[in-house]
Parts: sequence; C-alpha cells; structure tokens
Amino acid sequence: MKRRDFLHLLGSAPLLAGLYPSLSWGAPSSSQKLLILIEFKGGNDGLNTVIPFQDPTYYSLRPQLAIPRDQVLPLSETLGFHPALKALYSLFQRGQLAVVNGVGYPNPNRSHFRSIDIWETGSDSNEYLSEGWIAELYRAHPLPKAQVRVATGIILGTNPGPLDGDAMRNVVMTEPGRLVRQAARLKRQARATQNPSLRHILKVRADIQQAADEIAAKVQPKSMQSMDVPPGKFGKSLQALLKLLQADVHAPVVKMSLGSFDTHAGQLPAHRRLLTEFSDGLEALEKGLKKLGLWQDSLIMTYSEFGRRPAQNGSNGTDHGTAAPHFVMGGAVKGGLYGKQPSLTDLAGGDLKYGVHFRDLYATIAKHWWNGPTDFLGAAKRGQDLGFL
Amino acid sequence: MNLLSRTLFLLTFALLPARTLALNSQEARHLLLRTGFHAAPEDMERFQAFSRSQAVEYILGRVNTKAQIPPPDLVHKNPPAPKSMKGLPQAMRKARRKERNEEGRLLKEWWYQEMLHTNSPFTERMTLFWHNHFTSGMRKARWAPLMYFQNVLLRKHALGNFGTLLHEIAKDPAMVIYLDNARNRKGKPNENFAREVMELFTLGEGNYTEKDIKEAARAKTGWGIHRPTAKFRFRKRQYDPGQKTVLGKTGFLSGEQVLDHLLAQPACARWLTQKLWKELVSPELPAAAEIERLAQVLRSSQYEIKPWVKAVLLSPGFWAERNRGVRIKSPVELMVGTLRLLNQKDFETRPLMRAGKQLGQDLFEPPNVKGWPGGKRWITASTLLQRGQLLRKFLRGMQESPEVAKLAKLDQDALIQRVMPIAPVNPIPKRMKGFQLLHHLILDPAYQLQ
Repeated sequence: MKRRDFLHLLGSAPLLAGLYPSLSWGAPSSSQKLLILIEFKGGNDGLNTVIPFQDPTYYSLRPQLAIPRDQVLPLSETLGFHPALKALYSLFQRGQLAVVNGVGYPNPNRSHFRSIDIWETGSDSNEYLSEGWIAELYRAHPLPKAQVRVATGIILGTNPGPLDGDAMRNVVMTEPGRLVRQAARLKRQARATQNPSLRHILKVRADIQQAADEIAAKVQPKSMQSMDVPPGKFGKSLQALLKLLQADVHAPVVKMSLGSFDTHAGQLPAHRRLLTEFSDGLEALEKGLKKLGLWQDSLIMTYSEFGRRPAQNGSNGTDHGTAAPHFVMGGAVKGGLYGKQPSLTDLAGGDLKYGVHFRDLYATIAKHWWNGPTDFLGAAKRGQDLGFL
Repeated sequence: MNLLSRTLFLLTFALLPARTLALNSQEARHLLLRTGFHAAPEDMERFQAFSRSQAVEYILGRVNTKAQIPPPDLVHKNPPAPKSMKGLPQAMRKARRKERNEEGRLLKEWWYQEMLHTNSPFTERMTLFWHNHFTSGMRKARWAPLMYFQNVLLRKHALGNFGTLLHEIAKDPAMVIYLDNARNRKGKPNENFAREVMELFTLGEGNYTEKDIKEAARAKTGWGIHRPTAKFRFRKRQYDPGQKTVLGKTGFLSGEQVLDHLLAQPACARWLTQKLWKELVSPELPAAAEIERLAQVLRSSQYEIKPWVKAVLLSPGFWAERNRGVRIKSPVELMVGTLRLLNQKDFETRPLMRAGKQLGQDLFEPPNVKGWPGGKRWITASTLLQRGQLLRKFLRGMQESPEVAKLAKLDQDALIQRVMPIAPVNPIPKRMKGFQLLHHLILDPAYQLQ
C-alpha cells in the first residue's frame, strides 16, 4: 500500500466497515476512486487538437484547416493545443493532464460502429467480444461489496459502451430526478423463480429501484450547492454527475459523451465549438470535483473510435482516420506528454500510424487506479504501463 | 360407467401419446406465442380442438413464401451508378444521403407493416430468425433495395430448404457486399466470406481450421457483384481453378462445391439446431443427444426446414412446463405482439421503427456480423425502463379504441389468459378489471416473456 493511500485510509476511518480480507482492487480508500470516461462521439480530429505546429507537412496537408501557428497554445517545442482548449492547457501547466499521443490499434477499422466496438470491448480488429473492457475488469476482479455503493457504473446517456456486461449493475440516466420518477412506476414485488429469464428481468428491475431509492434519498435539490456548468448536453451530464457526487451517490465508473466530432465538412467552426464545450466542461468538472474534495480521487479519460485523416478533404473537413491523442487528467495524474506524435510523412495509406495501443491506457488505469492486473482481457492482450499514474 | 370400464377408459386415455391429445389453453397459448406474436382468440379456440401434431401442422401449413404487403416504390428503382457520389458538390451528396436514409426507413416500415398484418406470423418469425442468422446490414449495402431483395429471398426459403437458402444467400448482393467489409482484413475479402460462412452460417466456431478458411476462400475467387446492375456475377478470370483441400476433401473445388461440403459436415445441422432451439424453445440448450436427434431430422430430410421445425416444436423440451415463458421477447416481438393483441394493425410504423431502434433492434441493421445476441441482452437497466415507457405510450393512445374496450370487457381470469404468457408477477387487486387491469398486466414483468 502506498504511503499516501495509508494516510488516506486513516483519514477515512469512519467510512470503513472494517478491513476487507481479499483486496483484489486496492486499499479501502479506493472505494472513493472515480473513473470518468468521456467518449468523443464520431471520431475527434486529433491533428487539430494536439498540433505539430513546427511541422511544415502539417500546413501543406491542411491549407485551409491548419490552425495558425500563432494561435496554438504550446505544450512543448513541437506540440501545442488548439486555442479552444484553455482549461486543459491550464491543467497541463499544473502538471495534472497527461496527453497520450498516437493512440490507436493495428489493422484499424474506419467504420464508426465497428471501431467504437473495438475500443469499448478492447478487442482485436478482427474479433467480436460481447462485453465492455470495464465489465471484463470487474468480472475478473470483482469489487468487494461495500465499495460498489450504488452501482458498478453510472451511464449518463443511453449507451453503456465499456460498461456493458452481464455482471454489471449499471444505472442509466440522463438526469437523477428523471430516473427516480421512471423507477417509481416500477412495482416492487420480489419473486423466487426457476425461470432464468424472469429472474434476470426482476434483477434488473431491483437494481434500478435500488439505485433510484438511494438517489431519491440522497439527492436533495434544495440543500445542494449549485455547480456552474456550461450550456448544452455535455454540461447537463456534468451537472447530473456533480449532483450525484454531492449527494454521495457513488459508482466507481461514470460514462458520458460529447459530440458529434464526425467533421466531414466545414470542420473549423464545428470543431472549435466542440473543443470549447469540452474545455469549458472540464473546467467546471475540475472546479466541482475540487469543491467536493474528490479531485485527488478522480480520473478522467477520453476516448473515441478513431482520429481523422491528416490531409483535409474537398469539403474543408476531414475523413475517418486512425490514431489520435487522448487525455487523462485528475489530481493523481503525472502530467506531461506521453507517446510519440505520429509522423506526417511516414503514413499508412494516407493515415497516421499508431504508437500507443489503446489497451495500454486501460492497463495503466487498471494497475494504478484499482491495483488490478494488466492482462484482464487475456494474456495476449496484456497492456503496458504508460506511467501517467 | 362402472369402475372397471372407467378405469379402462382412463388407462387408455393415459396411454395415448401426448401429441394426440387435444391442447389445453395454456399449451395452445404457449405454441402460438412461440410461433407468432400473440395468441389470437380464433387460433386459441381452433387449437384447443387440435392435438399438438395437428396444431403444428396447421401453423406450418399456412406459411407464406411471399410478403402480402406490397413493397415501397423504391425497390423498383435502378441501382445508383458506382461511385456516383464522388465528385458531387457537398449539398448534393448530403441530399443523396438523406434520400438513402429515407429509403431505409421506408423499407423498415414496410416490414413492420407485413408483421402487423400477416396471416402467418410464423413466416415472419422465421424470416427474422434467418435475418439474424444470415446477417447483413443496410448501411454497408448502401442501397435499400438490396436489403429488400435479400428479405424476399429469406422469406421465400424461410420454411423451405436450407441448402438452397445457403447457396442463394451466398450470392446475394447485399450479403456479398456486407461480408466484404465485415471484418477488416485488408485485401482478403474472400477470406472474410469464407470465415463467416463457416463460423456463423454453417459450422460454428471450432469446427474448421484457418487453413480450411484459406482454401475455401480460394474456391470463392471470382464471386463478386456487378455494381452497375447490383447483381451477382462470376468472373472466371479471377477464379483460382487449382486443387483445394477443405475439411478433408481435396479436389478442384468450386465455391458451390465447398458449400455443399459444408452442408455435408455433421456439425452444420448441429449448429443450426442449437440456434433454432434458442429461438423456439429456450435460451438453455438441452442434452447433446437431443440436439443430435433433432439435427439428424434436418440431415435426413436433405435440409428441408419444415420437418426439422416440426420436430423441434414437437420435442418434449418444447412442451415441458419448465420452458414456459423462458424467452424474453425481442423488441420487435414485444411491439408487434402488443399491437396485434390490442388489434391495432394500422398503428403508425414510423414511431415503431424508431422505438425498435431505441430498444436495441434496428431492423435490417444488426449490430455486427454475429447478429443480435438476444435473450437477456434485450433487458438492461436502460431498455427495461424504455420498454415500460413504450407500452404505456401505446396504451395511453388506445384508451378510446373500441377493440381495446372489447378486450377490456373480459373478466379477470379470461384477460390474464389472453394477455400473459405465464402468471403475472405483481399481485392483482381482487376487484381490478377493465382497462386498468389490462394496463396492469401489460406492464407486468412477466409480460416481457414468451
């Protein structure tokens, strides 16, 4: 157990029911640990997000789309942020944002549906797995009961993605109040049954009710502090999350999304709008988490089905690509640049070559966030520790 | 009747095989739900005069090979010229895309209409089954009529011959295009096809090797689609005429011969039987011996589907009490079943189509080449609430409907019989009746089953 975990353990003594004998998922203080997954729907254009502003090829590939050098927020001598990412830039400067460059996988697929499936299940590009990577991690190493609190995961949206799995008890909602109202319509009737399908239905019903009960009991709008969030759907998801956290309604993993980043045409204004929404949202999230004393125990990770092609297309946009940078941030993150920026001249069929396999992100988190194994998807899929935690 | 003759009578009765005894109401309902969308009162009455065998024969006897609802006009259009979108201005491409999306929607609506109106729900259940077995997706096919023609093919052979169906679907344009892109192996479209045919369509995993796939892929060379007409075409120049060895058979095998060889594998009928069992009987498979027995029916009839389906529907497992209500209704079964129960066949199909998508079953768009996993996967924290909301929405709009009023006039027992696949979970207040009871039953968790 690390020293800081031990101190945290002492500090949170009243929350402990006792020491758990088999801690496959780390010290009791990790019952607070929160992973927030943010999906960039549609495939974010990484090249205009983390910009190789010294590379002349960047400007020649994107005569209309390249971000002007003087607008770029420099992260290093060669890479910089899109100007809309102000809050992320501040985080980077404070050493709590890890920018992982060139994240992708071999034999990339350029179909939205197929590629996001690959990312979310952690599969190889020629196989179909049925459970999300978070579900796989849970299945291999279940959390001791008390740590699970409300549920195994909270989905702010409709699509469980990485959290999809038989062993998962997820709560799905757009907004806590709405969930409570919908759940109120479900009758409460326990029934022992040999019918496995009926048992499943009743279990799902009970899970929803349990989550809704806890939320209804704890989320008291009147006694809550207001948390500023930017306008829009993403802001609403953040507001829902902060409301739940404030009410001490907890799950180890939360998933939300933002989009659509599928900028085939007229990319510049749309992308700027999205990155602004993201940056403003992150700013509000950081603020809110700090207010609640949860920043140190929160880890935020972005993902997306793919990046986009380096050369712009004929409609001032970009088409489906391959590797892209992703962000990992939070109070415990060792900020900085990770992974090499993919070359713009050594391309594969006009697309960026990936440098970091996305499974390495998952493995790093599994290992350092929850003391889990790095081969939870199987020995052949063991991920590397990237070192950002 | 004295004691002796009474005993003899009962003894004779008891010795008669179950299949010759008339169905009771629970059995009739069970059979109708599993082979259709709901248990219509006329069928219920009819079936209670039938034995199991007679009832199954009746269902198989009224199967259709063609849809009854005429398709939307779009299916008569000419295929778009290949690469016709390239070079077009952005506005035109957007308009074309919009048009294609609309065509897709119209096609989906057409199938919902067919399901709502058909006099043979079993035809549609089996067409859906084969759609989920021989998966193709509209998005990849890029042109709705191709999915229509595939649907026509599936319905034509749904209760026909599996061998014929396999041969024809292997050359179906929508299928060929879909499989070309199904698993991204650069420059190896034939291998993709060979893999799916073995893994998903015929043998199931573990019954072939990578070598078999590579060899079968060679046999498939030359198979392709002539894009301007969107029809299958064999290109002799591309065909690899050399010797191939697939699953122990060596020869100058053609693509067709490989398919025949796959059909000859014992694993084929077994794999298909497992799938059919899950569709008609239970998500849990029976003993291997029972699967083998039913698989043998398929083999010995040269892959005629009707005798095989009949054998499954007359198997002890199908009628076992423990297998009542063990299947979770798919979104389509839930919606179409409820609308047919409430006699709302002219319900607007556009919202139905949207709802189906939301609940996880977008017709003509299975999530991937393995199809909809089904079973427990239909019910999640999200879809359970959505199903309830949808059913409530249906009912809210139908309170004034005379058909629904008629249904609601039934007494408690009769209504439960009509609506529920098995006993409801939620307790029913003694005096509850009419529309309120109907609502209560349809929102009961057990209603989600069949």
